[in-house]
Amino acid sequence: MKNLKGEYYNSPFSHVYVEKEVWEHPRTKRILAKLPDADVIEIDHYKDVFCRKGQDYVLQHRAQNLILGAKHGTLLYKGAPVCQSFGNQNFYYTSCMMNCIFDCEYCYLKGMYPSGNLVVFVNLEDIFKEVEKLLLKEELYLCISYDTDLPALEGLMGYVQEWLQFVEENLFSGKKRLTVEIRTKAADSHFFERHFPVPGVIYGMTLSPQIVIESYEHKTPALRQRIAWATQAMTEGYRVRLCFDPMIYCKEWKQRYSEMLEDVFSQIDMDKIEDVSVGTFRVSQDYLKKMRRQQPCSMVVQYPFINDKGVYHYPKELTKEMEQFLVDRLKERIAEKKIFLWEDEEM
Amino acid sequence: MKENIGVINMIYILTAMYAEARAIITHFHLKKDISHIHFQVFDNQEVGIRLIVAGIGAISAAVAIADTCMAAEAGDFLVNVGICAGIQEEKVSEKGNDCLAKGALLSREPNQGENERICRIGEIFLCNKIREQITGRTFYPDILYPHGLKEAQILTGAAAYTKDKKKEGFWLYDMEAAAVYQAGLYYFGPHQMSFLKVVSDYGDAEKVTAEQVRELMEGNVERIAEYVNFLQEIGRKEQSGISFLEDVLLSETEKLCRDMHCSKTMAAALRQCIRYGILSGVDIAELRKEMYREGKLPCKDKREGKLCFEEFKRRVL
Ligand code: SF4
Repeated sequence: MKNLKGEYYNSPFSHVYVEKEVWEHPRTKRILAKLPDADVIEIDHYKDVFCRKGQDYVLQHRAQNLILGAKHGTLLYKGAPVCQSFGNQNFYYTSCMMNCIFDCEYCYLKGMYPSGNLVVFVNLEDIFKEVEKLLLKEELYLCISYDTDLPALEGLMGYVQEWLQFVEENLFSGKKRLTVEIRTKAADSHFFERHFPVPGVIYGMTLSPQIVIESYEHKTPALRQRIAWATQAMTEGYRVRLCFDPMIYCKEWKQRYSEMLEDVFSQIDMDKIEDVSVGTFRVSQDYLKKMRRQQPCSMVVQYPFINDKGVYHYPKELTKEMEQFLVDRLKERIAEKKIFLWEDEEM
Repeated sequence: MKENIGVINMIYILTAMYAEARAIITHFHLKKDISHIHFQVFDNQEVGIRLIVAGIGAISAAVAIADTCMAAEAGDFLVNVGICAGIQEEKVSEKGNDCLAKGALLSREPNQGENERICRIGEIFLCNKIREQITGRTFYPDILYPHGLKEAQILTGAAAYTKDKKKEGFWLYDMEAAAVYQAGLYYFGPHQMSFLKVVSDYGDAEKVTAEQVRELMEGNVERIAEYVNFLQEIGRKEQSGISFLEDVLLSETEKLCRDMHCSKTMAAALRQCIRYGILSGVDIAELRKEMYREGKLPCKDKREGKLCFEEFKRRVL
């Protein structure tokens, strides 16, 4: 009974759960029109499906389904301590989607969410309003691809495009400055045909050695593609940040990270890079516990980490050695003030 | 401990009546397990199938599950199979179909003497939404695997369906599915529960004879068997690597814990280190033997054990 491709799982978004409230929303209609083969099931509230008891994140992710709903209550959150704010004071993030179509074994979302299904909030306009309200008072640094990878879903959702328009309109509105960060591992070369550079938007491209990508960052583009994307983005006038975070330990990590940097330095004009971030893998103990239970055979989450006040990380000496190694190599090509190390951040 | 052997996963099939079960019992060569007092249970340990005839209604279903599914594990499945009423008449809107769903692809051939129906007598459906009529609570079993069946939404009521009852937009009606889901949730996740329903009537269940039920199920037994076999294959596939890892982990942890005089905390750390070692390709048994040969194991006491663990960890990482 495998499907026509001989696979054991349904293809992504074979089922779409739609909240009654957003059934008629134009974004719902637009998204569903792109999924003509999906079974569409009406639900009262996204949590009725997303927060069910006893779900298996990993299995669900293999046949990931889509939930369309509306976000109410808090729409913007103050940045959490385990993330980098790049020196920005008013660091906020927003979740217009929950979960990701990529499947990194070390992803904290596996520990944070009860379900592997993807939730998309179609009421973007409410988030925009909330941002506008805050901008009347203060400047804002906003991460919009925080609990997801927004560009990875651009073909289906078109949310990056909508954000770009919003940020651009804001530029000329006389309000306070808005800077938006879009963290991604997606590297679709067609992206540039349909998007345009906006000064207030920074793309944070996460780079890992190819061996790490192959072993743990399932369904994500190869290092070569990510570098090519970053290169083209900068050529076309986009602001690009390189994120070497999380650095993942493997026995030959030094060699692997050196090779990666060689590829980066040979192809990317480091003078044009916005900045870089560096940090080894770290995760809260509650999340790791769940991630380990769900992925008993995953080397990356089963590493015997050190628990430091509820945060798991590699042993101190190893953390230091890995981060320092990368920072030292980066310093050869980029000004030190442009290198943001996780350790520098305040908890 | 689980009763089944090796990596054979167990599929628990729950029906309300014997007439619903007979075709499945014959197909899988299930034998009656006379050790059960309250319910008729049939199984075949070799193929990993256990069928329970629960009786009609929510309470029977819940008690039967509690009585028979206690040993369920990851990789096992609960499949509720039975007849149901087809309650929705087809409404074709101006757009052609007032549902957006592919699952709303309808059987448009009317049955003789009946209005046009969404579901025909004898058709089998996999349920993707279950509502308990009495509480209004709705449940969503995961549909993760390709199945080749039509999908539908089912309403579970406390009494047999009659035409004066509300349909609430649902196509199917039965008396157990919502209870099976809720009771099943104690032992299974939503990805481990399936609901296969064969339409037997349009709200006049009293006219359906046991013989007719048997025939309806016989007409669908191949589809049901195919579905069950596929779950069996999936369960085996998902569990195979894990059980090997857990076996090695268990035996190595036991030996090393003993010889390192581990405390509870150190045992947990050692276990984690061994797990990582196995996954990263370290031959833990060989490493242990090597440390024996070097006289580092067994340790005299806890203090020596601690140092030995540090050494062990260094070699693994
Ligand atoms: S790309 Fe990011 S959000 Fe997506 S799975 Fe990987 S780590 Fe998680």
